[in-house]
Amino acid sequence: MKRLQLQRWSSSVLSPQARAGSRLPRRIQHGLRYQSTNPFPVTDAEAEQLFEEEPSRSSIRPSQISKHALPSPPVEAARESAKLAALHARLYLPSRLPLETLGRTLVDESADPNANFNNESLATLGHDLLTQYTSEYLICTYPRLPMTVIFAAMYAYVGPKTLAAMTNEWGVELAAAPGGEVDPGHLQFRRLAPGTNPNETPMRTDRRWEEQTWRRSVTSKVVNDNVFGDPVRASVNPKLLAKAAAKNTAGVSAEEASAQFVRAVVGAIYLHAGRPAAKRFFEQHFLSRHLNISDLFNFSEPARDLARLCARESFEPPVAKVLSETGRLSRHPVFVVGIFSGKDKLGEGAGSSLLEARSRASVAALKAWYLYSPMNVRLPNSMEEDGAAPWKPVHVDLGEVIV
Amino acid sequence: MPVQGIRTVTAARNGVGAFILQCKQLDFHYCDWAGSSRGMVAFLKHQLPAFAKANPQIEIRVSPRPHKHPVIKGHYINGREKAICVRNLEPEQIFNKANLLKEASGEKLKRTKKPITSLNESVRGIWSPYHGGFKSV
Amino acid sequence: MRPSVRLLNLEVPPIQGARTLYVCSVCRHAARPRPIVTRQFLRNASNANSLTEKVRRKIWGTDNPPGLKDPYGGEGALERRFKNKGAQVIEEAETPEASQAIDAAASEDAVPASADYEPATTWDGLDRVGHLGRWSDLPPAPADVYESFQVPKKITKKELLSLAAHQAVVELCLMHKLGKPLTSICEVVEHDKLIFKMIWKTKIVPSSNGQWSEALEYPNKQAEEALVYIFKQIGAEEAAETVEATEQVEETEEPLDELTEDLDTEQSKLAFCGYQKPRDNGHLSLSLNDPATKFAFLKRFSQLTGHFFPDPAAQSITTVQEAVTYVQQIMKSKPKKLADYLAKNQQYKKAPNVKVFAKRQKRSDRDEDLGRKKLIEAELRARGLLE
Repeated sequence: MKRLQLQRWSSSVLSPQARAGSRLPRRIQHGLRYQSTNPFPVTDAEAEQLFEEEPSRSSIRPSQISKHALPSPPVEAARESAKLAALHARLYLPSRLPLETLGRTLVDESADPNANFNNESLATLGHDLLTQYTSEYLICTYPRLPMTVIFAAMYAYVGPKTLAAMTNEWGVELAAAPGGEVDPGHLQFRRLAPGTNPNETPMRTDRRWEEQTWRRSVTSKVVNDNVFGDPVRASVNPKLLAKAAAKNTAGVSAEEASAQFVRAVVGAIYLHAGRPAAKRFFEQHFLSRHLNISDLFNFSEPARDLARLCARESFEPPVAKVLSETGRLSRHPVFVVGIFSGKDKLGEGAGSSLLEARSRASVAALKAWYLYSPMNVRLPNSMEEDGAAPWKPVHVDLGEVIV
Repeated sequence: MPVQGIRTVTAARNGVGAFILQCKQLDFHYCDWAGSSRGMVAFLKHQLPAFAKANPQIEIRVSPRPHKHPVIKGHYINGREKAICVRNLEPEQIFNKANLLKEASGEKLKRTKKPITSLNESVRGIWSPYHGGFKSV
Repeated sequence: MRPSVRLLNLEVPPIQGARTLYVCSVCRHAARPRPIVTRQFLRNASNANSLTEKVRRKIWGTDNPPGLKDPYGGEGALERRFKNKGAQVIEEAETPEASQAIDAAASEDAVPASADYEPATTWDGLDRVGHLGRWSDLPPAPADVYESFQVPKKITKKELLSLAAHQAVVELCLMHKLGKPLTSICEVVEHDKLIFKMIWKTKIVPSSNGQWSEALEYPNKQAEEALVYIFKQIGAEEAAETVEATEQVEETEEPLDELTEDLDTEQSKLAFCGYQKPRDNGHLSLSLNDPATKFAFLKRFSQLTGHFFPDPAAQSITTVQEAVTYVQQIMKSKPKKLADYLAKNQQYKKAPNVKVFAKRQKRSDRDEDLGRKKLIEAELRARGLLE
């Protein structure tokens, strides 16, 4: 398995000055990250030009500037903040992760547009790591999960709502407004103006014909959308993007800022303490959370799906049989129906009507199929360790039935 | 579409992976002049550094509160606060009070009738009259 | 009791009987005027024996009862007193002068006794007490000036305290030797420079029996004579004679005078004439067991240094050394604030999760920590509520 070349480009995150001229600004990369197949729409020359337009601020701020004039707390303030130190200890962060970086993870892009001081780059890295680890875990643990359920599970594990809840559970307080005088232990972001609808931001895909929802298939989601199956923003002209960033009028919601913070923490751990520490952090804080995956299914036609599944897997077609019943002519009849494929009982369900009992039985049978989980599964990221045993391919099923 | 995913949020299980101490901040207030703060001042002078070192995950803020009794105030992750007045207490008693605040969850005190709660389903399942070895209905 | 008109009217047989109220005969009788009482008063008015006189005679049981005839009338107590005083002064006018001097002082504060005393009817010409006009317009009187017993500025230096103790001890030793009242030394607020130099040069050698009068060791015979001479003057008429004494000292102590010239004139205005240290510390071991000596010493010492000795402290002090240490002790600076102590504490500096504030944390501090303060201020400015 090919290893990710994260360390190479993450060096630019650690030392912001060392941005090679030939490489595109990371902002543009971020804008295009989720559009996997698109080539870069901007040429290098354009990028260079854009680079010039960015407000150039020296990476080391002169100390004479008043704290109130800064958009985010100065780097030196991180050492003074008891809140930051307590947060560092509360999250059991490795000691190699300095307080200054932890302070940087708490500064959102909307608070400080300077990429040298905000958490945007760290959050991008952290997002990639989180989604990679989560998807590996989900696919290897439940190899037969339908794609839509994988999207939902991804959302449940590393979605913005979960990350915002985690920020809250970590005891991170949100600053009212960003600024140099703010304690670096507070999460700083520019809030949305009152009356703004946070969901109003246009979610447009690149493909005009896919804007209508009825055209969007699961395959299209896999190809074009982000890890949660949500459509991503269309690629905007980078010049416009830069202009919008320079103006920086729009704020972000607290949920989005909190999610960025958690991602940035993962990214910072990865950069400073290495891959094992990041993995451990992921297992302890993300995978340890409780999620009942069988609750994520929403079947519309379970009996039909089961029939298709049996046909695909060349089982005998499923047959529903009443196992027991009571009070068929009463007001509260109960039927217990089993679904049989040949002699094998696939599932069983009870309902107040024969149809309901049959669909419950089908759901039970489908969940039993989809939620198959092999024993002692080995995740692909274990290959990243030195001296790992040779990789044996894990079983990943076809996924959902296509009706 | 055959099956849809339902979006939910994972539930935290504090202590299953990492354990986050629920007390996030302790405020120690004292008065320089008043005699009721004598034990508090001694505690701050001699015992607090060790307490802070033993609990690095708690932010400790020491600030005077003139003409008032000494108070320890705990801030919790669930947003609640607990304050204990430690007037005229000895340093050891104050240490115990600080420990009490540190170990508290921040919830209101309530009687625990069922000491174990779980997010997982019961292994045995819910009893059903239609299943099991019944002879006749 | 004045009879009710309504009841008296009832005597007349009612014409419109139905309209008036019925009143019983007892009430009617009671409401009738008393003719006997009226007659008695009428008789008294023309009689020499008044009613009160008759009552008095009845009480005492004799025709000649003691006491005033009319206790509620006649001349007042003040008038009687002035009448007596006037008679006394006239009597004493013939007595010898010795007794007159005492009486004059006594009678001065009373109203000047004279036969033609007339009580005043208006306030014109009377002595005025207090200020009817504006007090601040009046010129200052000599009594208005306040001079502190102690020196205006407290002495804090350790050496100067010892010097003051030395001076007080030398003075008290001299007073002991001369057998004068010890506390009269306090009348001399400051010595002349030359005298002070002699005092400064005098050594204290505590004798074995603890007698203060024998503890002095003079630099030379001349100084001893001069000091004894000067301290003899201290007492009733001191002010005029000290000038003389200093003149005499100046004549006798020519070489000393030259020595003192090198001291700056500015320094001479300083406390203890610019001296910084006592020559030796023999005075510190003197005991203060004698209550009179202790009191005199503490009084003089507190006058020189400006420090007050409360009773419990004065009770426990037994030597000069203890008095000096006591003053040094109370001079020590106040206990430091806990925040200062914690700020210097190394253990606190090492702990990253501890923050020590020197001041009370208010809501505005929290607002600033959260970045809310600038929003509030901006909003207040926008509404013109904050400049």
